[in-house]
Order: sequence, then C-alpha cells, then structure tokens
Amino acid sequence: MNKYFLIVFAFTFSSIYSQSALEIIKITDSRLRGDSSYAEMTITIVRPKWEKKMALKSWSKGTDYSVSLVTSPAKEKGSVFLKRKKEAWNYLPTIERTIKLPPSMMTQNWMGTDFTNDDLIKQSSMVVDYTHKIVGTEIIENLNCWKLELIPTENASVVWGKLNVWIDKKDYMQLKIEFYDEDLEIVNRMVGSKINEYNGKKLPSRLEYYPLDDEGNKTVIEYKVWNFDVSIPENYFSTQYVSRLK
Amino acid sequence: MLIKIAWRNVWRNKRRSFITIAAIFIAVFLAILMRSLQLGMYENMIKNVVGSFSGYVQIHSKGYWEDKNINNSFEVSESVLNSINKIEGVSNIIKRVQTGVLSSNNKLSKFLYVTGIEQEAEEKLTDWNKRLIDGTLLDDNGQSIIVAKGVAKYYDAKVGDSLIFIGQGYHGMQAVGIYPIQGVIDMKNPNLNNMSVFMSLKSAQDFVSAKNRITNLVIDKEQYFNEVKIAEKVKSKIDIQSRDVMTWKEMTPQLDQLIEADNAGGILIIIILYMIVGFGIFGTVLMMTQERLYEFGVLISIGMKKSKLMIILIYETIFLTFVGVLVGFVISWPIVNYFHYNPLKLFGAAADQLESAGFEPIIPFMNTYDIPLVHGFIIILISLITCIYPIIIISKLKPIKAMNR
Repeated sequence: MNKYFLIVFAFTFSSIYSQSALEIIKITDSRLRGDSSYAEMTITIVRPKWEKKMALKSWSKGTDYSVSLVTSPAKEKGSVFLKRKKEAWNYLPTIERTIKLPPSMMTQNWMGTDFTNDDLIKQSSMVVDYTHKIVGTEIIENLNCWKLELIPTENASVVWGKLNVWIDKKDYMQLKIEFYDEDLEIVNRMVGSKINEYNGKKLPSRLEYYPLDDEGNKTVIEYKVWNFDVSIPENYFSTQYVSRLK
Repeated sequence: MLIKIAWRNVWRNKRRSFITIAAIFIAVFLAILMRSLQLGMYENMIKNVVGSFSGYVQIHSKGYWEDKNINNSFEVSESVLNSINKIEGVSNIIKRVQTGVLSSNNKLSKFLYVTGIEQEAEEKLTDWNKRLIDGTLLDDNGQSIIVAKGVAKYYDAKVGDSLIFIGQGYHGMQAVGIYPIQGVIDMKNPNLNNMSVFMSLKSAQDFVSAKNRITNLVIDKEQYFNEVKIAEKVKSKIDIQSRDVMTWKEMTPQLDQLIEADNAGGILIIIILYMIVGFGIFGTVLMMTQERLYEFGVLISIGMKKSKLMIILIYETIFLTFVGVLVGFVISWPIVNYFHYNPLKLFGAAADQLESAGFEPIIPFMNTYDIPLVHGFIIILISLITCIYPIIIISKLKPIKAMNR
C-alpha cells in the first residue's frame, strides 16, 4: 500500500512539474511576442578584427510575418528583409529589386550577422515544437531563474537537438538560451541583459548571440524602442510595399 | 709545340677528323634544338597562364590565400610600390581587388569572380586590345564591366546588357550593384573565361566598400629574370609579418607539376641522346686509335715520351670537339631564333587539347644562351671522357708489338 502510494505521488508530482514547465514557456513566449510588435534596434556584428554597427526598424505580426528595414549605415539604407511564413525576400534599393531567398542561401548569414536566414525563417515555436522539463534553478543577473530543458518533439522541423533556457521566476524573461545540435554539442549561446521596461513589460534590452565555433565572433542586438500590440497595416508585409517602407 | 703538333695531326687526316666533328655537331645540334623547343613550350605555357593573368609574383595580406575574402585585403603605400619597382627585373606592379559574387540576369544566376583592375597597368601585362572580342576597354572612372566570353555565353549577354552582383563587402558591408556590360574579352583560359568579370579598380573598391584597399598586388618580371630571387627581394621591402609573397609555383602548383613531369621525360630523352652520341664519339676515337697504333709505336720507339703523346691526344680531342660544338652553335642558333620569333603552330587534335587546357597552341623556341652553353659543355665533357681510352692504350703500348703488323 505504501509502495503504491509512493508511485502515485511520484506520478502526480512529475506531472505537476511538467505542466508548470509548459506554463512557464507559454507565458514567456506570449510576453516576448505579443500579437504584433514594432521595434527599433541596433545590431552590432563583432569580429576579432573589426565590428560593424547597423540600425534597423522592425515590424512583426505573430510568428508568421515580419519585416525589417535598415536605416544605417548609409550605403545599406533602405534594404529590407521580409518574411512571410516560410518564405523570405530581400529588397535591395541599389538594384531596385526584390530577391526571393533561394534554399541555397538559407544557411548563409542574415545580413552579415551570426544568425542564419534559417534561424529567422524556421523560427520554431518553443511552445508547440518542444517537450519541456524544469531541470533546476540558477541565479542569473541577480534574478532567480528556472533552468528548462527543451527537447524537440519527434515530428517538429527543428534544427536544434536541444535547448537550455533560463527564465526568471518573476517576470518570465528569457535570460539565457543554449542551443545544441543533433549530437547534443553546444553550438550557440544567447545571453540577455540590461533589463528595461517596454509597454509595462520587463525585457532584456541587450541580447548577445555567440556562435561558439567561431571564437571572438558575436552579434549584439540592442532594443531602443519596443512596442507591443501596435496596429500595423497589412500591406507592410507585402513584396510590393518593401520599397516604400520608412 | 705540343699544341702545334696536335693541330697538325687534326688536319693530317681530314676525313677522319670530319667524321668526329660531324658526330659531335649532330649531338650538339639535336640537344640544343630539343631543349629549346621543350623549354620554350614550358615558357609559353607559363606565360599563358601566369604571365597573362596571375603574374609571376603576388603579394597578399596574410591569410588571404587560404581564405580569399575581402576582409583579408590590405592597403599599399606609394613608398612601398616605389621600392618594389626599383628591384632589378621587376617590370610592372599591378593593383587588383578580387571578390566572389553571385551574379544574376533575368532567370539565370552564377558565381563569378569580380576583379577590379587598373586598365593601363594591366595592358602592360597582356594585350587587352587583342583579346577584346566586342565593345571597349575600361576607363578608370567608368561604372561598366567587361565580362569574359564564357560568362557572356552563359547569360547570352551582349554589350549594353546588365548584370546584377550580390556579394560580401569589407567588414560585413553589403556589396550589391547593377553594372552594364561594355566589353567581352577572351581570357585564353577556360577557367578564367567562365568565371571572370572586370571593372575599374575604383568601382570595385566602391562595390565592396573597401576604399584604397586591394587584395592582390601583382608583380610582373622581365623575361629570363628569376621570380624566386625577385620574391626574396620583395620580402625584404615589406612587412612579412602581415603579408604573403607568393611565386606562381606556389599559386598554381598544378602547372609547375605538369611541367616538372614533362620535363623529366625530356631529360630522359636527352640522356639517351647523349648515350648514343657518347658511344658514337667513342666509336670514332676507338677507330682512330686503332688506325694510329703503328704511328704511336714509331713515335715512342724514336724517343717520344708517352705522357707527351697523351697530351697531344687530349689536345686533338679538344680541338675536334670545339670545332664540332662551335659548328653546332652556329647552325642551330639561327634556327632557334627563327622559331622563337615565328613559333611552330600546332593544328588538329593536339592544338584543341592544348587550347582546352588553357594554352595557346604554339611552340616558340627558347633562345637563352644557357641552353647551348650547358649542352656544349656536356659534349666536351663526354669527349674528354672518351679520351681515356686512347690514353690507356698508349700507356700499355709496346712499340714492337704495335709496329708488328
């Protein structure tokens, strides 16, 4: 009888635990995305010998639609990156052409950063595509965080073999993510810092993305403006409008 | 005294001397022609591939050769250029920016190498006017491009059409542009023909956002100067911590290996030729010695020292070979020179094969002085070695036996 009770207890306990892991992910995901968002940011590409800064404006709607406009440096001003579901286009003002990214370019860097085009287009949903498990608690940036382990579900088209996500217990901010490949070797690390308040939401304003294969390389994203649930005209996400974005 | 006797001996029996001279002459003549032809062919191959485009020596930023990336470009100062120009044997210095791009036109796209060039300087390396098939050459401030003929064929593009380039600029900048075609050029090399696009240095630097920077500094040499020595001298003029100096052998080892392999075969044939000739000379010497045994016997029995007789024989051999070698020089030289300036033209399958490998199907002879000198010297050496035989005969000679016929 005693033994039986223990098994039942263990079962309920673990199911509560996993339930709450999914809950955590759901909350953090909805906080980060909102229905739609508008952001102004600077991206700094850091290489061992040089670095490059660029400024972007970016609009997004759900996970399916997003468009980014480069506002500096002058030579690249007006370049647009448009994502519609699983397809992406690049508008280049110098040649006044919109180019649909071919599959062969998916593994190439997005605008020279450490992200690949694939990373942006095949953005998987942390909620749907993974199974979640809390594996511990840690302190990051003086904040008490859950450490979650996310394993992709079998039929999810996800490039990663595993994710480790650190989420703070109070504001559900993703403060650190580690990306593992299929062989469960760590390949990338993303670190959030400088917490700021945007539309009443607390979020890290600075994200540093490290590709761990290339030492000395990183990409830093700093959000200057970040508004959520703004109304964005539908045509912002069309290939016809890219040359007129401002 | 001995020299005089030897000289007279040579002319005493004209026919005998003539046979020896002829044997030596043929050896020298064939050796010179063969080597001139073979070395001339290699020189032409090198000139086609190296001399016309990559240059004999190049300077790159360290790491560029392994990772041909615009971020591995460098700036070169006027003072460095001047000091390189002063090196003996350097005929030209050419600045280039090279970068790989994705090109497209209508529905087609293709990977290409865009090279920014200074038209005037390039023309000292190759005759661009001769190679231009259509359109005009670049000028320094133009925004147009010249495409190689393979590229033009791929896009079915003519002068006036445009190509779009998308590539990676310096320090992560975008490199994007649309460029009208102003000319089509034949690079005389299938690889280059399928991959090359040229624009002015300035517009290429603009394209990749790398003002004043270059990726390759091409150093051309004057004919018959050694590129390895020039490279050594260049190394002393620049900061080798941050720059690489490479000769064409390091840049295109395949060509060097091809030539080395072919050359080994050539040397083998020369060795066989020398063996045949060596035995030919030995044959005449043997015959001559046997013929003159009686004479030697008489000389020794009337008191001639054996050593003096040997010296006379050596002198005779030297006279004969010198005459043979000289005649060989005199007769082969005009022929070599004629074919140097009017190269042999190949035709048919051989020509096609050479052309598809990127070489002009002609064989100009090489007219340097070292070929006749080296081979003349080898022949003289061979004749001196054959001299050993009569010397041994004389040293063992018993006058009575020799005179007893």
